[in-house]
Amino acid sequence: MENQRFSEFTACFNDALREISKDMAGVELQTAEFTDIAVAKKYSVIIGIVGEYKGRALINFGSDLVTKITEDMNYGPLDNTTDIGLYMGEFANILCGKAVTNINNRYKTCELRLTPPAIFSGEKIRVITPKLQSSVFYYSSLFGQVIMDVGFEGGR
Amino acid sequence: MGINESFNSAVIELVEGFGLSTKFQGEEIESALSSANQVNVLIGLTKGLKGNLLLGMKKNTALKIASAMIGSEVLELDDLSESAISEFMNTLVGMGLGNYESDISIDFSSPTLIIGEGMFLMISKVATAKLLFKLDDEIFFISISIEKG
Repeated sequence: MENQRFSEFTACFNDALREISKDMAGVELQTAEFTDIAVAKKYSVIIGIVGEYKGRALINFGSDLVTKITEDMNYGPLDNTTDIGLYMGEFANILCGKAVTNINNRYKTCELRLTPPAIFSGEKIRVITPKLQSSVFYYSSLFGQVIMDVGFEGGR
Repeated sequence: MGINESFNSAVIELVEGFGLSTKFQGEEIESALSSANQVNVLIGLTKGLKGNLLLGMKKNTALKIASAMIGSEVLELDDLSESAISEFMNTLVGMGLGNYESDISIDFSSPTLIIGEGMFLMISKVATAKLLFKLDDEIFFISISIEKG
């Protein structure tokens, strides 16, 4: 994949995350410096990307931001981890769906599709996707941090 | 062959292809796709079938498989062994879907390896078939979670 196309693809994910966070949860994300999510508990969502290019989006959310997003989506608090996970999976699915729709509209032959979201939380987790070149975006908000890592095989 | 049977024979064929011995231990149906294993490899399906496939195992089992693939003993999970385990799952899914007798075209994502302790991995609330295998004395599994419609 050429550098320019890789940059345009990852920019679509960047735009989609900002727009969906604002539209669905009223959260304004600001670009931040490199940092890890400094809370004990965080949630991560992985969505696979398939089509002319293979890849994946990995999005990490701090727990306060997860609470804000899921409460706004549900119009009230959620009381169990499974439901919180499913809501965050759906949130990530919506934003990645918006990103690949924009990419597919721009590059008609790409036909990118998404695989269902996988949600996980835990300590000292490492996520590895061999053969993948990715861009990492760091954000801060009033409710906590988000880190999004979007990569494609043969990217850059 | 149905999807579960296709993956059952693919696991045995692939593991034995690397000179290891494995035995099918049975199938469990679970209400959701989840794992608390140390080493997990995830591949998503889309197009004709939408869902996720998850290979879950203990670190020891991952080291045994990686050692067999690399051809020398692996004592820790490093870049090479992580890549080998991911490729194991990639090949397994290719073989499993190849065995599956269906006219539909199925596309699958790159493998993603998730390693950690005390992990809660919750993938979907879709009914899942978990195929259990034994490698030496340790159980590993492949979970097949296909969304309906």
